Amino acid sequence: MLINYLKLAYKVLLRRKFFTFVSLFGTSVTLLVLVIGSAMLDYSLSPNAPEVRLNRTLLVTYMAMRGDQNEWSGDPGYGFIDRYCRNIPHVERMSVYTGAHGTASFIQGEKVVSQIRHTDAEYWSILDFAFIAGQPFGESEVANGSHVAVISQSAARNLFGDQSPIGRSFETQGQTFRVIGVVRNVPRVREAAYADIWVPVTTLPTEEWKTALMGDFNAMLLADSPRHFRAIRSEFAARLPHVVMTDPDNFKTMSGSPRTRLEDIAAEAVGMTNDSPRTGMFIGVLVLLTLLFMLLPAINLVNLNISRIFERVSEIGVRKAFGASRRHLVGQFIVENIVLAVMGGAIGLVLSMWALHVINGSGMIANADLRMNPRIFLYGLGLSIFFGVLSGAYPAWRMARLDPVEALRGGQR
Amino acid sequence: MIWHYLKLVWNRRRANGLILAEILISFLVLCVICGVAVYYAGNWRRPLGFDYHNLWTLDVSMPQQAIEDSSARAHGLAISERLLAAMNATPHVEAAAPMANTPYSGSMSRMGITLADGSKLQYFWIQTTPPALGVLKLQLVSGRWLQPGDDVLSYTPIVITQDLAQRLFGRENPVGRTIDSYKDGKLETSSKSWQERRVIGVIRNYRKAGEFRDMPYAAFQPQAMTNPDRGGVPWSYGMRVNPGTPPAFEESLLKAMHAEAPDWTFTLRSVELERQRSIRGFLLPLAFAGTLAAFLILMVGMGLVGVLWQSVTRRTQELGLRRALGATASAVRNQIIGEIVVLTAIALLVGSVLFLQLPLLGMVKFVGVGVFVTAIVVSCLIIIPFVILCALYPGWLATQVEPSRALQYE
Repeated sequence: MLINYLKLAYKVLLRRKFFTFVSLFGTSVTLLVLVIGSAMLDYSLSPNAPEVRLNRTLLVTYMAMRGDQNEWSGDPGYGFIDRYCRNIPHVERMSVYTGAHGTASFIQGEKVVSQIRHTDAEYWSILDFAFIAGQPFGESEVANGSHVAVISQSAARNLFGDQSPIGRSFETQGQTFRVIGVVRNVPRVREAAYADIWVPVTTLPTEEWKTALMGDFNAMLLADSPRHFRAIRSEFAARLPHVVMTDPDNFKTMSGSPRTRLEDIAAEAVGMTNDSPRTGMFIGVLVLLTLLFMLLPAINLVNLNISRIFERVSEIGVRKAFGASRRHLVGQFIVENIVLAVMGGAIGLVLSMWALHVINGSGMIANADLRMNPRIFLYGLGLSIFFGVLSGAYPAWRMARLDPVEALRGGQR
Repeated sequence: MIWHYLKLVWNRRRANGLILAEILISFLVLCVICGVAVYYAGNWRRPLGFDYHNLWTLDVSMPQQAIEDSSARAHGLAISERLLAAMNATPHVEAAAPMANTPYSGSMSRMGITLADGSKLQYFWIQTTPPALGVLKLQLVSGRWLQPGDDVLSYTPIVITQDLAQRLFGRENPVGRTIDSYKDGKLETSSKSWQERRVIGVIRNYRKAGEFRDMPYAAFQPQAMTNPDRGGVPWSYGMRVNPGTPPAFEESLLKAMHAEAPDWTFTLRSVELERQRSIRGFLLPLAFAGTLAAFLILMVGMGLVGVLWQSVTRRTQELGLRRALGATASAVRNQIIGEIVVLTAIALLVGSVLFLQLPLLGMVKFVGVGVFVTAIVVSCLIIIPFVILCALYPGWLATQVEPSRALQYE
C-alpha cells in the first residue's frame, strides 16, 4: 500500500512541477532559517571546547549591591568571590577570572588589538584549551605575579608573524609578558573562555581589586554533578547575609545567584526579575518566534495543497465511487505531503550545511565553528515532517468530505 | 464594479480566507521592517551636531578608590590634569578635553528629571572643559559656551542642545533660564551638592548615540579639574587631531599616558571607526530581517500564482460563459486581477488597523505615529504591485479560455 502511495506521490509531484517547486522552496528555506537559528543556540548552550564541562558549571557573573538609595549591579569583584565563593560543598573546582577586554600592542608601529583576560591557575583545569605549544601558567606563577601569558594562534600570528612565539615577549598596557603557551583560537560565544591573551590575575596593576565586592570578575563553580546545583545555590544564598560590606553607608546588602549558561543568556536577552533571570520567558519567546515564523510558510503550503487537491477532484471522485474509504484518501494525501516535506527538508539541510560553512568562513562571528550535529539534524527532519503533516491535514480533511457525485462531475465549488 | 468583485470574493470566501491571511501576515511583517527603516531614515537626516572626522576618544580605567573618597579623588584629578597636559603635548593633537558620553561609545550616562507638569525626561550629561567646543566642533546657536572659571560659580552653568531647549522652554529664549526637577510638585533641592542649573548657551545638536538613534537631548556643564568636592575623576577624553595623522600617533600617545599613570589602563579609539561599527550594528540586523522577509514574501507570491492559476482552470465554465456572452478578453483579465486586488485591499485595511494599534495603545512610545503611517504607505506600495504582478499570468490564462469548450462542458 505504502509503495503505491509513494509511486502516486512521485507521479503527482512530477505532474505539476511549478507547485512542487514552490512547496520545496518554501519548506527548504523555512528549514534553513530554523536550522541556522537552532545551530547557533545549541552551539552557545551546549558544552564545546574549551568549555567541555559546561553541563556541570555554574557561573557567578552577576551580583547586585543595594543601599537605601544606591544600587550597583553587574560583575562581582575578586574580593567577594575570593572570600565567599570558595569551599562550597559539592563544588569540585572553582576559578576566578576577569572579562575579556580589548588591549593594544604595537608591533613596529602597527597597532594590534587583542582581547586580554586575567585568570587564576584553576581556570586551566576547568576549561580544556587545545594547547599547540607550551603549557598554561600554574599556582606558583599566579602567586608570584609572573608576567607570563598564554596566547591564541591568531594573537601569535598578529604579534610575532611566522616566528615561534614561545619564550618571546610582547608589550601591552605598559606591561611586558613572556609567552609560555599557545592555544587554538576560541570562538566568541564561549563566553568564559574567549580571549586572545590570558595572563595571571596577579599581574593586574594596584592591589584594590583584591578586596572589591563589585568589579570585573566572574567565577566558574564546577559541581560534581548538575543534581547538586540546587544545594550549591542555597549554600551561596546562605552566605550572602554574612558578607561584610566595604561601604556600609551606601550599600547594605548583596544579592544574586550562580547561573547556568542558559540563565546567563536569558538574563541578557529578556532581563531579570528580583535578580533572577526570566528563563521561562526567554524559552517562551523563542518558541513563539519560531511558531510565528513558521506560520506564513504553513498557510502558504495549506493553500497550495488545497489547490492541488481540487485539481484532482475527478480522480478523487472516481476513487470514492469505487469505494475508497476516507481513511485511505487522507492517508494517501498525507503520505504525499510527507514525501514532499522530507524532500524539502533534505534540500533545506543541505542548504544549511552550506550556509553554516559560509558563516564560519565569513568571520561574522569571531572564530565561529558552527556544525551540524545529529541532534540538530534530527530536529530539522522532525520539524519538516511536522510541517508536512500540519499542512496536509486540513486539505486532506476537506478532500475527504467531498461529495463523490459532485466530484465526478468535476466539482463546482 | 468593486461591489461586484466583492461579491465574487465573498462567494469563494473559504478559499479566499487563507489567501487573505497570507497577505495580511506578509503585510504586517513588511510593515515592521519598513517601520524600522523609515525610523532610521528619519533620524539619519537630522544633523549630528559634531564632527567625527579626526576625532579620537581615550577611556581610562582607574583603581576603585579614585572614585570613592575625596583625597583619592584629589589625587586622581591631579593625574588627570597631567594626562591632559600630556595629550596636548603629543604631536598631532590639536585639542583635548575630558568628557563623559563620548560619541558612539557604549557609555550612556543620562540625567533624569521630572518637569513641573509631572512628565519625565532624560538627557545626556557631559561634564567637560572649554576646549570641548573645538574638540567636537559643536555649533553654538545662542548664548555662550563654557569658559575657564565656570566651575567655581555659585550655580552650575549649562549648555544644552536645541532640541532640549525646545522641549523644556518651547519657543522662549532658554538663555538665563534654569533646569529644574520636581518631586511631588516641589522643586527638588535635597541632595547635598545641589546647585541651580542655569542655561548659558544653546548648541545645534549633540547626538552622541549616532545617526540612527533618536536621542537629541544633551547638556554640557563644567568639569571641575581642581576641586574634588565638585566633581569626580573623568574617565574618558575626546581629542581632535590633525588631518593625516600617522598611525604611530596611537603608540606615542599611549606611551605618554602610561608614563603619567602606570596604574591606570587606557583604551584609545578612533571615532570614525566606532561610527562605522555602530552603523554596521544597526544595519546588519535590518538587512538580515529584510532578506528573511523578502524570502517569505517571494514564497507567498509564488504560492499566490499557483493558487490563482488553479482557480482559473477550475472556473473555466464561468469564464467561458462570460466570454460567450460578449465579455472582452481584457474584461476577463481585469476580473481576475480585480478580485485579488479587492482581497488585498481588505487584508491591507485590516493589517493597517492592527499595526496602528502599536502606537495608539502606547506599546511603542518613542516612535511617532507618522513613522507608522509612512511604513504602512510604503508597505502598501510594495504589496499591491507585487500582488498584481502575481496575478498577471493567471489573468492571461483566463483570457485563453475558449467559450465553445466552456459551453460544451455541461
